[in-house]
Amino acid sequence: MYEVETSSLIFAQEEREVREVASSEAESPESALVAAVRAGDCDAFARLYESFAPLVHGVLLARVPYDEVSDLVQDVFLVAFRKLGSLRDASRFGPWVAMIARNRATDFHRRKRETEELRDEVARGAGHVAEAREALEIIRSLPEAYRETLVLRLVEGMTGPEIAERTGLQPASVRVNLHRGMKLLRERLGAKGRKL
Amino acid sequence: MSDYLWDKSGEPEADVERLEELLGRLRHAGAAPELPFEVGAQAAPIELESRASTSARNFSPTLFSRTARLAAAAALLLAMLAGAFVMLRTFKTGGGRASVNNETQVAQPHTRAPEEAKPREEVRAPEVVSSPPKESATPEKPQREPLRGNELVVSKPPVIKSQRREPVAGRTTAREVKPASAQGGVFEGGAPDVDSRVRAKEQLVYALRLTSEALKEVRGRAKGVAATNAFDGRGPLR
Repeated sequence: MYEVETSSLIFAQEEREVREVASSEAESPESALVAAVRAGDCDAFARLYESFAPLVHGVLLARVPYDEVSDLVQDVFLVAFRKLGSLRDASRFGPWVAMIARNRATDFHRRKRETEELRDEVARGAGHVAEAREALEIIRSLPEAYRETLVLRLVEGMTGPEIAERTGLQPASVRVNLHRGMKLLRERLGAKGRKL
Repeated sequence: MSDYLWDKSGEPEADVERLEELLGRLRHAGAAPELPFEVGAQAAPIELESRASTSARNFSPTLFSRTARLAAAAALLLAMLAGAFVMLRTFKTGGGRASVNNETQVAQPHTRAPEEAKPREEVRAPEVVSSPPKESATPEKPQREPLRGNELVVSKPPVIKSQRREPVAGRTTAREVKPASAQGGVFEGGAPDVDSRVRAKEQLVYALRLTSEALKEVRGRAKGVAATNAFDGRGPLR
């Protein structure tokens, strides 16, 4: 009797999970956009880009110099578009394109020539932009787990749940990374004499 | 734990707000890239393709035609050469077992009559001469003793072979053997040697000329230029 009840409970839970996955896949906006792009809709690709470009930009900004990011974003989307046929679960477009961006950043560092990034005021610009780039450099010096989350939160303006949803990370992990990263960033900024 | 850092709810934290304002200047602002290709063609889900269809798609028709032409030319050339070779062989042997040169005659299997085997031994003599001169130039060296029964003698074969044999009366050595054609003789098969050689040579030249003309024509077609056929078709066959 107990076993029957347990098994029925397990079956019910499995059915619920399958239904949830199916409904999320069917209802998620990125699934519809991906399907439209696959069908040949150019506007759908533009909307997909608008939705996920901040994610790709943030992922790249946490890894490569600021001046290179814009070109790399375009590259990532072109690669994603070419490989869109290999994406099995359309609702996972965000984590998928984020992974492409991470790989692209790795390729960038592998292929880049031995050049030093300009550190003078000319390269950085003036005023607030220079200050922003300096703060970004400090964020980029943090451990990898923290810097991507912090860039997405502070630069791209995403909330924690949005970051978790788009990157495919667990919300709890994102929350932990945000708070630990922010604590570390405060320490680094304080050490540099920056007043926030 | 601050709610504002997590989901922007609750009381804003001053430092977080300040960082948001500062770093927000670096936020992404760009348009979607121009797609260099047609949308539907590239983004369609990948189907499992057979290797045959993939290879057929990658194989361009022009490449195929060029390869086929070259293969046809090569096959033609091989066929011509094979034909010429067969014709040569036919003329050479004349339907019998006679061969043109002496070397071929020497290399015949050991199925001859005992009286025919003797000249073969004589023919082997040049090989003997090619052995080191020191040993061949020592005539005072004791001759080999005849074998007794089934006694196995392990000695240096070149030394033994290097003994220059005295020419026997009525026999001719290999050096003295001249081609039958030079002597104006007749082969065993009955065909005159000079005629057969000349005819074979003409056949070979004809086949080579024909092949080269065929190759020129094929090459001209492959290049798209009308080949001028310089070969007038005159053949040696009469």
